[in-house]
Amino acid sequence: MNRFRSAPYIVGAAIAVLCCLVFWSADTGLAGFSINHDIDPINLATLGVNIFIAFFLQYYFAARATDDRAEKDILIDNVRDVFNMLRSCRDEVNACHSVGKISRESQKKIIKLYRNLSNGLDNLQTAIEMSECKKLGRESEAIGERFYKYKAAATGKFPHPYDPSDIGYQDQTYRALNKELHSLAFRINQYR
Amino acid sequence: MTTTIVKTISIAKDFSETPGPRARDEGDFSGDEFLEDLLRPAFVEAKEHGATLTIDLDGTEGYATSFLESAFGGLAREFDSAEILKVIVFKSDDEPFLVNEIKGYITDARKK
Repeated sequence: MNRFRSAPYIVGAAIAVLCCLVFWSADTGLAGFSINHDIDPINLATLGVNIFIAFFLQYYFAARATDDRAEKDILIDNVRDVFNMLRSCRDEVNACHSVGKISRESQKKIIKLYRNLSNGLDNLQTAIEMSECKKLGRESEAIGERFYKYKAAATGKFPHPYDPSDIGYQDQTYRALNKELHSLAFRINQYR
Repeated sequence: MTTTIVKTISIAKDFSETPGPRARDEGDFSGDEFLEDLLRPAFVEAKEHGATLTIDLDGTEGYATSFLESAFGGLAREFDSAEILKVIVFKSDDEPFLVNEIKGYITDARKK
């Protein structure tokens, strides 16, 4: 890793050595080299512009690209957390599919998991609004709507057991929310 | 000079920390029970006095859709949704998404 980090210095030193060799060759007339001691303003200006562009690219764009990537990584981590919470909800709800009546304990657990998921989505929305990807905040509202439907599918009939149509609706709403989250993760990653 | 009287119902303190199912016969602390015993009388009183009714949703173990729909959707089936949203202010620091969820049940209730 350190070898890669020191690569720019090695390249810089090699260029400096090469320049010194060329100047020395030109000064001594070695191998047919010659040097013109007049200062050409156009060439000087071109050199200045090139140096400015090199520094600008290095210090502005490279730094900005790193910041943007770090921001996106934070947002994608948040989305990953939400995915985990969503899977926990699905697993707990699925565990109640075959029971005669959903126990009070299971109800409490499911409600708590949905609260975690809700707060995970709220955190994600807040983080998006604080980031450079704030335009995606509007799209996270659609995720909120999907979440309400998924929660209603799972907790709308408590304490009655889930029938096949409830289970089907839970699957549909789960997939819809999962799809929106995947789409959001990809849009965050590609955001410019 | 007009004075806005603000009444607050804390669900955790005034009703239960463990809100239950939809109907009274399904279990304790149901949405119907909350609607009939607390929410409707407080809403009617606030409406008559031109006051604001604050519903504090914090401090509970969480809410099932069945409870929320029964209580707030139930209120919206009796009164005008716009009027409810004008009179009632929701507070939820524990779960901010709840506020929009409840508003959805209030606005959708009439369509059913």
